[in-house]
Parts: sequence; C-alpha cells; structure tokens
Amino acid sequence: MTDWAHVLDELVRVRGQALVRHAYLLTGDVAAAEDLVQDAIVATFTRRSRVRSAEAVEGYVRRAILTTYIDGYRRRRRWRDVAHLFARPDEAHGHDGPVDDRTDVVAALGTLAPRVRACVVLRFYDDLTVADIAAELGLSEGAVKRYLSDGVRALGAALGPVRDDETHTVLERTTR
Amino acid sequence: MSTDLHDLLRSAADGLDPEAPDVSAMSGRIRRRRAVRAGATTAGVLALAGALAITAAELGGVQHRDEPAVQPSAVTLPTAVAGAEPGTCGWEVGAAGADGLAVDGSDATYQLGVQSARPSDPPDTAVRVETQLFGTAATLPRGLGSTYPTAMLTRDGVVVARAQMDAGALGETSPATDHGGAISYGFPLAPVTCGATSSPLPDGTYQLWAVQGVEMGDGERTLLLGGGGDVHVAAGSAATTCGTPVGDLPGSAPGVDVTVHVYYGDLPADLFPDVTNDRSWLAASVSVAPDQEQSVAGSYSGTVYLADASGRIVADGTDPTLGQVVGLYPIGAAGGSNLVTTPQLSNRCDDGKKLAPGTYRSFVVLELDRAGGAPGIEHLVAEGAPVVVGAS
Repeated sequence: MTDWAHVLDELVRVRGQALVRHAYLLTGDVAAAEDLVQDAIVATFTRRSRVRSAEAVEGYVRRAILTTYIDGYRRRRRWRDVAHLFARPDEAHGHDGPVDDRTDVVAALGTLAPRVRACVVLRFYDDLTVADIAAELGLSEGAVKRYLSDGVRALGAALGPVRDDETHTVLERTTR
Repeated sequence: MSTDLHDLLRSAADGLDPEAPDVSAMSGRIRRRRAVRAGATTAGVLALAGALAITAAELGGVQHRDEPAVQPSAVTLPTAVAGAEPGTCGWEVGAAGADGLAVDGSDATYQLGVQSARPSDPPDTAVRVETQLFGTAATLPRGLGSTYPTAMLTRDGVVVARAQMDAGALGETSPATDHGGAISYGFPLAPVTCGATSSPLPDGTYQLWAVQGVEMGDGERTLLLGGGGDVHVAAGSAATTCGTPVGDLPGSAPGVDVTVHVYYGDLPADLFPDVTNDRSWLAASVSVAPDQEQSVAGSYSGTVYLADASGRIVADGTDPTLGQVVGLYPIGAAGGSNLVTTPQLSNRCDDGKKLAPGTYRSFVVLELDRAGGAPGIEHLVAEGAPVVVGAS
C-alpha cells in the first residue's frame, strides 16, 4: 500500500464520520454530505503529491469541503441556494417552545446563503474564532461578523430566540 | 428562554451516525487522477479508434480549479440590496423589481442563452459575454420588442459585477425589431466590483447571468433571465483553461449517456456545411441516447479540449492572438441526438502556434441550459478518441 493510501485509510477510519457530520450541517442532507466529503478527499489527495499524516491532511480536506460547497456544489443545488433568497422576511414564524428537532435546525440552516451558513457552522459547531473563519474563507473579519449577525438573526426568526453567546469563549480549537 | 446555537448545531450533527466514506472507491479515483497527472494512460479510458463514453466518475466533480487559497481581505464584495432593480449591483438573482416586473427564467416561450469566452490576450482581462435569445418552440416573431441585455457576475446569488450591452458600439439607438431566428449580442464584462468602488474581483468562481427585456405581441413586458454557468477569475482576469489539468474540467451531469466524435483538421461538410477547410479546425459531434433526447432540449455550447502527455490542456479553442470563437445553439423542442460544437482554432492555446506532432487526449465539454428546467447550467462531458497531429 502506498503512503497516501495509508494516510487515506487512517483519515477515513479516524475522522471520516466527523467530516460527514460537519458537511451535513452545510448541505442539510446526509447523502449530499457523504458525496461532498468524498469529492473533497479525492481532490485533496489528487492535488497533494505528498500527504504526511491524517492529522495534517484533514485541514486541507476541510478547506476543500468549504470551497466546494460555497462555490456551488452540484448544479441543481445552486438554484435551491438562490431560491431561498426569494423568501420574504415576514414568512418566518415564531416558536414558543424549545427547539430540539434536528429537522428544524437543518431546515433553518438551509435558508441561509452558502457563505453565511459556512460562517455559522464554523463559528458555532467548529468553535473557530472570527479571525480563523476569515482566514478559512478568505474574507475580512468585518465580513465574517456581518455574515454571523445575518445568520443568527435569520436562525432566530426561524427557530425562536437563539443565544449566539458572545461570551462563548474558544479556549482552544477542538477537533470534532 | 433562548436556545444556544452552539448546542443546537452540536445536537443536530453529533446525533448522526453516518457511513464513513468509501475508501476503496476513493482510492480508485485518486489513483486514476494521479496517473493522469503523472502522464500515464489508464486502460479502459482510451480507445485506439472510434468514440467512447466516459462516466462522471472519471472527470471533474469538484468545481474549483486551484488549491483553496486564502485571499487578501482588501476587497469587499457588494452585498445584497433589498429592492434592487433586476440586473443592478446587489440584486439577488430572480427577485422581482420594485415596479413588479416579473423575472422569468422558465424558458416557457423564449430562452436566453448566456455563454462566456476567455479574453484573447493581456491586457484584455474582461469576460467575453455572448447572449442569444431563442424562441423555445418557434422562431422569434417579427416586431418582438427587446432591450439590450445586461450581464452579471454573482456570488451566492448576489450581483457583484455587471455590464450592459453598449448600444453605441453597434451604432444603434434602440434594438432592432426584425430579428429573424435569434437576438444575439457579444460584449465585455470587466471582472471588477460594481457599486461605489471598483476593485478587481478576488480570485475564485462566480456565476454568469444575464437579463434581457422582451415585449410580447400583446404588450406584456417580461424580463428574461438566463445563464448560471461558472466563470473563474484569477489575478483580476477571467481565467483561462489553458495549461490547467484535465482533472479540473467539470463533471458530466448524471443520467445522460454521452458519446463524442472529435474532428481535427478538415471538418466533414455534412456536419459543418459553412466551414471552409482552409485551416486546421477542431470540433466535435455529440450524441446522446435516443431515449434521452427530450431531457437535453434547450440551448448549448461546446468546447473541445486537447491535453498533452502531462495531462494539461494545450488546446481549448483560444488563440492568444485571435481570442476564442464561441457559439450558442438552440436545441429544438423535439430534442436532438447529434449536436455539433462551434469549429475552433486547433492551435496551441498558449502561443497560437501549431500543435507539435504527437498524440493528444481529447475531451468535449457541452454547456447545457435545459429549456424549462431550473435556471442554471449543466455539463455533458465525454472523452473522445486520441487526436494524432502529424508533422507538417
């Protein structure tokens, strides 16, 4: 087995499911998330002539997942991503009780524009700082803050009051 | 009581028990693509003679071209503007205008085909836009009123760069009404941000759309929407495919079986009756299965790519001294089983010189805008037989 094949095997065995969970929050669909992760892994291992370790290559795979998703993953999905922009603000309705339904959360995430959605996932699922998100996505920190503000507001309209926890401090980046 | 977003997302994702990615399937794809990059040929992909079909698993699938790169934060893209007029900076694609004028991307009666071509040569950095307005089921009626088209580059569905066809460049004061088969325009779209400031667009992938107003015979006005194909911007210019790996070509839409025949040199008169064989051409005919003809009705344009032994594109119809020939063709309501691409110059895309003698892999990429489908572009992609260039 070649070196890259060893690394691929370890990456999938140790981090495969975590990558799919991360991609699921972007795509909202498990099958689409699995395909997105596979395409990102293939692209990363194809482009990099040397892959040292699963830990080292995972960052590149995560970057490829984000870029592929934001740049318009699959032609048919682009229209659905654009179609949500037609939604009128007054279509949102309030929720009185606690939100614990995955379907509701994923559906609410699906109303966000791809870059907004990516910022929300990186901030509130991957625990990245604003500066880290800006670096990942090639944006200014001001743009990231704007996207996060838009995303939190939109999720609040769909799910009921949400706490974005400005006091939520990222002490260290944990790998999920 | 408010709900913590952090907990919400964790709860939504961590409760999943997805299947791990398929290592054996990925290994095969990686191995084949690495072989292409290394210049080796793989059995089962090339054929010595005749056309062959290639599945989407062999090509593309990942739309971005380069390693994900961190962009400098100096340029801020325009953001969505609520109530923006269609085609203006910050417009969200598809949204109606303030005056209530509907935006129609349904292709019900007319279809607006949009295609981009690469710039011919530095310092020309603009995207060359071609628009064609077809009748979906019939020819355009005489006297059809129309406006000049506006082309846009978008990110996340928001207009970030735009240009309107310049009537003055045609010496017209208003669009002609005696159009014949189609209304066609070609004009440049500079890859710079619209709005208060004008800065080169950051590197990346954008979508090219266009809007064009038409007035039907009964006086009803509609703004047609077309396009949706990707445009890649690099270093402030519309990026070329010349020199890029074939693995960066887009993947083929699933569910359509495509076969291609690539022609190099002289073109057969029965397929290309308007071409004089006074130079070496590159073109292709594209076939789909008879039971799939209806599924590909719409408008299309095609490009033939030749790749050298290193797997890099050396011919893509662009001659740096002459630009690129583009063509948008309608597919009639009855569909079409044998499409042809616009004849291309067969020279090297980097310096315009004749290809060196040798054998080249050939690929055909068809950009398809399905009539009546969701707005946007799909690709039909297949590999053809190797092209042999002899000594002159």
